[in-house]
Amino acid sequence: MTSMPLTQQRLARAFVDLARSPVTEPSDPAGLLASLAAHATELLGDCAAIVLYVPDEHTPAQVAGTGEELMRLAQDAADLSEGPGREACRTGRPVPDTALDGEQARRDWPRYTARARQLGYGRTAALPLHVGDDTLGALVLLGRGGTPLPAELLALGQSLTDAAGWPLERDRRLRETRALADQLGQALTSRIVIEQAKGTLAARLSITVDEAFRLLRSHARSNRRRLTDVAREVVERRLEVPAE
Amino acid sequence: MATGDGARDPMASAQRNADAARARSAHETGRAEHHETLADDAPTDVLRSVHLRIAALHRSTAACHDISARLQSDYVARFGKWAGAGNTPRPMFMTGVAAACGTRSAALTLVGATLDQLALAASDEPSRSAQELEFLLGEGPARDATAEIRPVSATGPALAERWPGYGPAVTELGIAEVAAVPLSLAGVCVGALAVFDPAPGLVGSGTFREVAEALTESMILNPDGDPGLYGAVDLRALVHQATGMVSEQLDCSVTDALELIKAHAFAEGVSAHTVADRIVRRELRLG
Repeated sequence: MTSMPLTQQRLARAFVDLARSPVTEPSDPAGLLASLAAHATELLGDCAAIVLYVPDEHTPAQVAGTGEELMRLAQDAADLSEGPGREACRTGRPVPDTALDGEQARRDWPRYTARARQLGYGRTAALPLHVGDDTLGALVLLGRGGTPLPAELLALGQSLTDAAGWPLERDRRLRETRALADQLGQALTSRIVIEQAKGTLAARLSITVDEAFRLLRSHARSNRRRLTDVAREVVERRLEVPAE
Repeated sequence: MATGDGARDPMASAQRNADAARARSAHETGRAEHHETLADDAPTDVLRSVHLRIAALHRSTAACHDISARLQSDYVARFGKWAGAGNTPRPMFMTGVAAACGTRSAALTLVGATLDQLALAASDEPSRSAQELEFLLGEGPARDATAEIRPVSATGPALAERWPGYGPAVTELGIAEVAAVPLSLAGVCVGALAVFDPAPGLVGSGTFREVAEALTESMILNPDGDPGLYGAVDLRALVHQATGMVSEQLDCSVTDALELIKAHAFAEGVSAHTVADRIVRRELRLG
């Protein structure tokens, strides 16, 4: 790996960036992707690096890269849904070192290949960005001239990409955890409000709590309202539920 | 509980959860091994240490799911034995949780945004009584562990120093040591697990915290889990019914009504449930 301008300091900075966001706060994926692209470019020698990130089918693809030309190429590739990044993303497997003037590249990615060659790139490879069990993006490497991208460079790129997937996975789990905690709190609170409303109505109408529950439920049904909402209004004395 | 179907068929549900927890553990172990391989192959120390850190996090999640799988399997085994036996009391999930913590007395509380107890599950009478004291007095280890999101413990005279109301009252129950850990995941805290008179050495050991993490990760905040702990979680339905009644009778808010019930229960030396039962039966009218 002596051919690469790889220093401990640079790597350290890359990972300080990647792992900086505290566990309790979602990190900013755009910032993470930009720093992955920047550091990959810096670490991986003469290679240019582009990061493609497609969090889900409803969200537009996000791209990150260094330099305006590269960003445009990355954005167009995302819009065209073609290129090595899309392929790695779709298959979940790396796209090995490929010649951009080769038959396969021109056949599989006709528009992408032309654009990349205009910018002076001759070789490409793509490494899948795994987030948990899913592949949500790729790190695309582009090399100038015709020299193949070395295997150890691709291994380092994948190692870097796997490390970058971890904060993204952690963010996703953080969002899921918060949603589940909210649901749990709401479920418990709803149940409690319904019990309170049974008591309120039972006292108001001098009936049993079971009778009060039947009244609440049939009022909610016949007015097509959620039992919890009816219960809350009864407790807050904003709703009169008449006795049968 | 509205959430989860564990209360209807606890044995099948626990078996399913045990299998799921085992599968999640194997999966996390696989992820850990992947990053360990990447660490071995890493060209620099920094990249190696990052992968080792990620691997360690996956290993710790795997350990959580292992504990959870054991808790569920243990419950399935006890339930199976009980179903075949006869007139012994139905096994409770919390009994196994307490045993895993090295005690007979453990209580789990779930709280809302205001940190008030919304629900509880207790393994035995002493832990239920101790948790009831926290509910009545609004202070104690579970509440502090939840509020501060960190472990809390106190022994002997320190109990009264830390909690002027709860300390002496829990000492009167014959409890000499209390400890609680938050039920938190990714900075979100939904309650606490408390133990009473634990075996020496438990507090401060990793075990207690690991059991709490396992319950949070695998049961409470897991889409496949059962936050109702197979019907063990009690919402204090009767107390909230009585609260609604008192609020109507005295034309006050439910918050004030609940405080009245709690104060009455504490003054009489009975549980809020007992007071609520009398209110709902119209044997008692507060105010």
